[in-house]
Amino acid sequence: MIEVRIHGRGGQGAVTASQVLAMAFFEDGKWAQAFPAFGAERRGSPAMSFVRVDKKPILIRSQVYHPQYALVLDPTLLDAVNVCKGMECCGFIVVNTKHDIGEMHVTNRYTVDLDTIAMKVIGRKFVNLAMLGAFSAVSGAVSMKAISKAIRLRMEPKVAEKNTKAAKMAHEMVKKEVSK
Amino acid sequence: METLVVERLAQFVNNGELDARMIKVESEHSACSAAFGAQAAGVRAFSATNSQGLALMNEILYIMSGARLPAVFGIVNRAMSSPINIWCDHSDTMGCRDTGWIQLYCESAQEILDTTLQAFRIGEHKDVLLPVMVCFDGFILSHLYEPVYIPTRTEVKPFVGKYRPHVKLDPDKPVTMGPVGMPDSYMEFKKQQAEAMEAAKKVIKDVDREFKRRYGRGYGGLVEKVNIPAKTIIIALGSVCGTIKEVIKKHKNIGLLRIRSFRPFPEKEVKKACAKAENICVIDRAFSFGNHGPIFTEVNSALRNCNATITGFIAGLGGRDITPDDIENVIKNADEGGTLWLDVFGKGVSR
Repeated sequence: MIEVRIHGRGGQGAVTASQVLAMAFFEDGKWAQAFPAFGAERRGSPAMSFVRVDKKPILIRSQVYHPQYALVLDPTLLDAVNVCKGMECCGFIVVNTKHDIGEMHVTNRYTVDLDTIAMKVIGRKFVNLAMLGAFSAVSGAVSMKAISKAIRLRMEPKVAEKNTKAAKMAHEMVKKEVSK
Repeated sequence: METLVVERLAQFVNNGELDARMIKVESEHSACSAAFGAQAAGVRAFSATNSQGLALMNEILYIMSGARLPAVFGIVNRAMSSPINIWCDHSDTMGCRDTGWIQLYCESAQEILDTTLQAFRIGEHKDVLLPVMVCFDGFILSHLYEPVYIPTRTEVKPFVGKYRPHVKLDPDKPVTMGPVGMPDSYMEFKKQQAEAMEAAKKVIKDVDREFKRRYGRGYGGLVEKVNIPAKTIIIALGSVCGTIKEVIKKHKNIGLLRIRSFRPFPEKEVKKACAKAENICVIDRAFSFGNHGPIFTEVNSALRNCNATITGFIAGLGGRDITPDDIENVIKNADEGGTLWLDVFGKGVSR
């Protein structure tokens, strides 16, 4: 079973991203769950959402405490919450930032400047679905085809088109970093 | 919490996918009253609520069941305030235990859909004629995305069928509804209601069996049994049963009895399943102040002639997560007896 945690701020679409990712896994023939951290998030405050995926139906209903992947939509969260919490050092972290994120207890760290991609393609800093492209490149656990399809299923056609493009750009950028 | 349910229904109605009228009201008391009126006029009525909202309906809940109107409500289980809390536990529906509504608890998103379809058949059955609550855990299930098989309208129609009310308000054929039940008749009404609830046991089982035949998915009727008989049996209801199923895969001789129908209570099934068990662990997501957890009390009553040690665990109140580690803790303390609180004040278990 793979467990993914998405960190964002209220309003940045961490929950939507988890839902689209679960749908993408489903499109790839897997069983998936997506759910938010059960808080009372306000716009701008730290928020989390989770995805579980497996080859067989998922029975467990508790929250995710030891994810293999953490996706961070907002670089300012690095100072606000412990994004590595509960992770083994062999886990993977992807952060949306153009800056160096320095040392962390998790060894596999990737940065991708999703803000710039989103500004260019979408015209606003909507990075939640672009992050899924980066996740696909880092994990290899879900195909870009499935992510594109899930985005199209979940979003309005115009929005979907832009987000798919942003996700593909993020995917290409991170793929280069991964193969280094 | 139930907002999503109602929003989606509003969409269905707006898009012409559901032949129904949405009635907007100002409170849950009115929502329940409107559902009563609609049902009395001879149509199916549905609403969704939880927590304090359900408590506000309480007065009308009794009136609905007493009038034998088989409405179906979705209840998204949530804690009762105060302190203010919007998260999952079963305090709300446990507080409605004696309202005369059938209560079915679900473990997965698929089961919520399937049980809702079943609920109409159960409630409307001529031997039952009782309203049904389809209960599912707030946030844990209500805010969950997971694969669900959604049957088409043509698949559902022959199963659910057309609603044929046993009696309705009709100016051409006047009837009295909601009459006074004087001391010389009230008790007869209540006895009939008790018999209907008893009859519901068979109907719940039959409907689930028919559902399984038709759609390939069944839930065991009143209870679901996993790895039974076993030396230690965990009894619980709702979404936590999924986590329990995952945990007991690693253990030998531990079974799960998932109570699907809390009202009517499957006394016979509990007795049979626990006949050879040495330890029974009951997980309650609610507490009856001054006594024990509500399911614990019922299980004790069902097993009054058994020698097994029965331990109650109060867990997951107000949205506190019930983790696999908590279930391991339950198993470790299976022979303690009495009521223990799980994961409270930073302790694994405490009296």
